Amino acid sequence: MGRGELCYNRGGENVTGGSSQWRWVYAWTRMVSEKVTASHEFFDHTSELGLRVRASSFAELLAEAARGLGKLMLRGRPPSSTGRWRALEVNATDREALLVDWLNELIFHAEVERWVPVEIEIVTASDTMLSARARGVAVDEAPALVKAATHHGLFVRQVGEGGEVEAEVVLDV
Amino acid sequence: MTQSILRPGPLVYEVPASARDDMRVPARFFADEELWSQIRNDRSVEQLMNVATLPGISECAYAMPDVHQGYGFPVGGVAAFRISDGVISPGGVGYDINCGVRLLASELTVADIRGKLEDLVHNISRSVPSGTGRGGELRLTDHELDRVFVEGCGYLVERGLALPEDIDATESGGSLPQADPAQVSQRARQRGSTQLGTLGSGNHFVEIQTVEQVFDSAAAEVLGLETGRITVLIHTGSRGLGHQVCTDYVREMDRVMLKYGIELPDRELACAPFDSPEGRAYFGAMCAAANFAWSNRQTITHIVRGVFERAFGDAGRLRLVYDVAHNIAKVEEYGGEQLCVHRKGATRAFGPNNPEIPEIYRDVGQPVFIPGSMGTASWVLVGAEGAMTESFGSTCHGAGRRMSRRAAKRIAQGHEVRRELAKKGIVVRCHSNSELAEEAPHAYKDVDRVVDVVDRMGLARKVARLKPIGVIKG
Repeated sequence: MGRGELCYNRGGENVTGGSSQWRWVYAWTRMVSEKVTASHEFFDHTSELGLRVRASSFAELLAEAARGLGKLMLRGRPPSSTGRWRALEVNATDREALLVDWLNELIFHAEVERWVPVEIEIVTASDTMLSARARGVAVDEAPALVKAATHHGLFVRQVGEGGEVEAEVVLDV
Repeated sequence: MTQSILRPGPLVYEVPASARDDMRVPARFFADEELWSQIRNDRSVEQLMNVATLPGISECAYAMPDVHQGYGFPVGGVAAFRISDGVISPGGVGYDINCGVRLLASELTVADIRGKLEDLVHNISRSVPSGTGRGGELRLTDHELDRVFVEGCGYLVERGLALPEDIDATESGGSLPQADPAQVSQRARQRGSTQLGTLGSGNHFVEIQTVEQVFDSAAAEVLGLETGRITVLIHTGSRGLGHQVCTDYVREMDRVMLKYGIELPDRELACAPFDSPEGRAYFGAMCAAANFAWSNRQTITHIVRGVFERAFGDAGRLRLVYDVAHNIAKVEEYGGEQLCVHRKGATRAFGPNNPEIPEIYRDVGQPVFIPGSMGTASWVLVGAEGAMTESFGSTCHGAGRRMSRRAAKRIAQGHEVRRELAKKGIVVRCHSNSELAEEAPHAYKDVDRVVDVVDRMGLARKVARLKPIGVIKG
């Protein structure tokens, strides 16, 4: 898996099936609006879908995982953010559980409130607690095709010396 | 691994308990050579071996011939745990609690619906909401939701959404008595309160079919099935409510396992002793979600009945043949011992004379429905004696996926799948071409082969083969 917007773009091609034009605009917008230091891609599973994320820190990994999930749930709709920032908070027993609980928090909001977060900022994050703010897309009907993030094959691990981390999580779709 | 596989029978492959230090019982697969070669291509074998490590597991961890890789448990897995010292695992039931199928039978023939099929499919598609988070017209208050949790389909008789005779034609009468609404979280209630009578997405569907061939005329007569007659198969579950119950309790059990000294090879197998506060709480919530799922299929039945009756009058009456769960944990007795039987992508298949079976079916065995892919066929079976001795009263639940959704889409796009189905005379409604491609027939194993295995093993007997003519996909 590569880094930055190229890989991000590749993930979009694999999953959303949206037009290449908006994917390019999205990648470009992200590139100029923030320093992209994270990437994600989806991997195959017989009946479900895997999400693999890499980032320069655990906090950024959580944000990138949320962006990946948001893109999957929007299924090709333009990811322009709307509305005000809202605060989200999750507590868990360790890093892996925090990643799963964070994604499940977002799945819940998507289904019940018809709100898919696409812009994520991590306020604080430890191994067991996450405080974030997010802006998202309001949709007419819940777009989510994701039932839950699971603990199956779940890992979060350091890669290399520079604090970079990667994670895999299987989504029940 | 190759040298560890035993062959206790021509259709049985077994990984002995000695294959891994942490396995407590063997992992046993029912398959022919072709299906076994597919099973070994994904992680089903490793996942069933993981299940075999769980505390209190009885006899064997079993996999049906449609088994494929899941998360934690493989899909198509059956495992029974002693109530006395065994566990209950939310991952062993899955996120779609009591996903299942029900079959409705009519007196109509293909000739009767000729020229009306497009309209029927269209009207069902308009009337039954589909899509993952999609709500229905029925909005339930907290009190009404509690009644669904506790009474299941019984409550729907009072609401005019079920006929009294539907109750007897539903597994467990459409209501598990151990349901405890107090154990269902507010979040689960929020997800479920608008979803009664909705189909969902993925592999869920309503299918109009014809009885193509009868294999056991005596059993078919008891079930009221006749060649050429129109049937309707409904496949869905507990929707977002069940997903949230599973999410809540996987999280809860993940937190308490250390307290009970449970170590697992896969965190998604998170579990707690059945007889513990956490185990009892999950069981109460799961039973409530299961009752919601039966009520969901019943509400859809009510809607589909309305469509048929508007089209055909009294001649369009749809009789519920039976309704079975595919993802559930139930307390059952085997060899004088109480066990919590987890079926994750498997169907209860009690043989003849079991008191759990409605009286009208008791002589032939419990009806079992095996949905195939939307382009092939579905099967009606009846449970057989072999299931009671070989698989904790269980059989297969479908064709079983053999390739990922993305792999399926690489082979054919949605519009191509739609065209192929049209060539076979199958009318399809699906809101997304992408999802249609994900569920294409080539993504699934050969359902006839799967059913052959359970028939030859004596887990269930073939009664009839149903051919799809109209498909409404979730």
